[in-house]
Amino acid sequence: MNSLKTEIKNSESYVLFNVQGELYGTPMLTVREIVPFQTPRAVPNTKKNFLGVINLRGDIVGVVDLRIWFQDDKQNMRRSNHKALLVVESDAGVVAVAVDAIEAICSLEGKDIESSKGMPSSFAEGGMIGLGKFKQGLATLVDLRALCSVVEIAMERKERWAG
Amino acid sequence: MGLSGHIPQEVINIFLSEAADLLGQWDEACFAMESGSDLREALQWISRTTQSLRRASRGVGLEEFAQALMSVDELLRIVLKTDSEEEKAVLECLVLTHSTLCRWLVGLRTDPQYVEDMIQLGEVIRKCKSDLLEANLLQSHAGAKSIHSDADLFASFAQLAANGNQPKLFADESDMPARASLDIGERRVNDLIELVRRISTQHGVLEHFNKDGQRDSQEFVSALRSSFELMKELQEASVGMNLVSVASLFDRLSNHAIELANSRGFAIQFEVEGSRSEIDRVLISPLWESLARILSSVVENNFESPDERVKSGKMPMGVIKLSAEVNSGLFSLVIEDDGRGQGEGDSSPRGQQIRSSLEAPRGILSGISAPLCVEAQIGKGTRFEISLPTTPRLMEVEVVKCGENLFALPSHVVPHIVEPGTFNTHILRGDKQLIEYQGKLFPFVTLPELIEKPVSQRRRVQASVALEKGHVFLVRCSRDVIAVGVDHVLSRQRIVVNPLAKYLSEVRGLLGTIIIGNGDPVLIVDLVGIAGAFLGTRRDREAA
Repeated sequence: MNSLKTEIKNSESYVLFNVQGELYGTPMLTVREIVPFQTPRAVPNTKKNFLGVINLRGDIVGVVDLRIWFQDDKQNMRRSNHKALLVVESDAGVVAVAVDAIEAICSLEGKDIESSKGMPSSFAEGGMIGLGKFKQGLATLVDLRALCSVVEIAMERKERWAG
Repeated sequence: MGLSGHIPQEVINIFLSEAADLLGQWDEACFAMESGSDLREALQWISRTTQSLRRASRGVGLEEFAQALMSVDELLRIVLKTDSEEEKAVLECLVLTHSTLCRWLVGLRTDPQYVEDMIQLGEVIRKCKSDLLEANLLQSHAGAKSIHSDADLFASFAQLAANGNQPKLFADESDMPARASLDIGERRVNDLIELVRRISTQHGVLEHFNKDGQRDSQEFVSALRSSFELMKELQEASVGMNLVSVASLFDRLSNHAIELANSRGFAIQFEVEGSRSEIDRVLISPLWESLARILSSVVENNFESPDERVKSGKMPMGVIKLSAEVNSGLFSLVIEDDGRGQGEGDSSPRGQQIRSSLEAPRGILSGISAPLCVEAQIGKGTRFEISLPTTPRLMEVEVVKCGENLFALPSHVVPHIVEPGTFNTHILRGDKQLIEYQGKLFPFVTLPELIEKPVSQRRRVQASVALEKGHVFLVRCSRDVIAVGVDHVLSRQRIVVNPLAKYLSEVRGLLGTIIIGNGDPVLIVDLVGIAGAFLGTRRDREAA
């Protein structure tokens, strides 16, 4: 009984997804739902990797490409073939993250996660959990809720031009 | 004792500016009390504001200011500790304190040693306290004297200022208790329930026709139309829950103007019309902030001396008229004076003073998408006009198309839509475009060009193509009218605005979003804000 408890405590389910051939994973609890990709309506004065807004059952939701959080967004400029949206409820509001494919939902034990401490990361600080060893391969584990909470999409802050 | 001489002007300016903001929140809480919102929450809000103001005023050496606030804070603590029924007296006291502190801040802007006369306020506070005590509502006022150590306050602010960071003298707004409850009249709630009942009945009628396969019948079409009308009424009734009368706002503005004139040594007559008009409560605070500043400018700059007025055939006492009107969901407010009518376009020092004094209210009004139009007639007076939707939640918009993109433009800032082929275009040096319509010239810009900067040369070519075939919106913004070109005008709709998520609200030029009939999201463009910024940039460039 004790060992079962320990196993449950030490393992967590992750959604594994693919963006431009790279495997990523995010804790399943950070994702509200997964929906098919819809073409977003473009919003002016936003960053290149903010794809626009969609109508998600009556709510307006912003759609971002994962690359919006890359510290150097000039890298990896190939066009993505988005097929699904991971809808995340964050402190900044509901955000949909566009991905190329959902690979699997699988659990991972703590011992199979290599912490991101001291690891070079292209994600904003606090967004990367580490590297996870799945049977599908090595995946970059990211906390989408934390990333969405600090998402910045504006090209130019309102205060700067209004003043 | 006024502002300490050894405190840097930068810190004093920050204090004055943030104190004014905080007094705005104080005023909003007074409105909430007046409109019957949760009394305790409003008092707690004011109490937090008082404490922040007191600490900050000590930090800049305003000891008397801090003492006045200490006295109010003691009163608030007494009220909060008891279930007082002396609401009206407390409210009057808080309103009087607010106006006294506002006058004090105005005085400090011109004279750092200014001290406001506190005799009247002191008496009112003392009387209010003693009434509370007499009514045996107070069990114990132990702890009413709160001592805060502020010794290091100024030093840390000065350090922050020296480091180039704007010191924050006050607690964050997020620290304030949330005011979630609303006081809604019984009639409004009953009307809403009645509407829901009628909609349910109508839904049953539509179901009946649908089941019987009569979807092409005249009756079905008529029932569907009634259903749309009911939905429209439901939109208005539900949004109307948030409407409050502007009577209190007008009273406060009237007192503000009269007191300011008296403090300048002359008297004015203040006339009010349409004070029963209603507006969304979230607009009250920005309206107070902007209108109080406009009235201050009017009182300080617009009136001649009584002798001059008599010589020019006017009554010795100047008149300010404040009127409001609600028409088709649009709230129009007019301030008129019968002063010298010297406009802000005047190059004299007074004209410059008027211009600079109107910048702040214009900025505040632009934040609620309300353009301020000023017309001055020499010798006759000045007229200020503001129009905005009664609620930012329900708006009439023009849905337009530019290339492949759809946008919604708030109708209230578009006084006129010019049909294609009824205007001439002129291209000036420096790629500026003008359109000539009914004998007048207006600066022209296409909507994509206005929203997105910088605009590429290729898009500029596309924009000029759109000009020949498309519609032109004449948009009223700050001191000017600008012509904005779009490809097609699709429809005019009355819509409920979807508020923007936090990350979207930082994008320039957006007011909100709507979902149109086919389910597509459409962006509502903040025309006043972006057109104002566009014209400002152009003026700066020309001046340079």
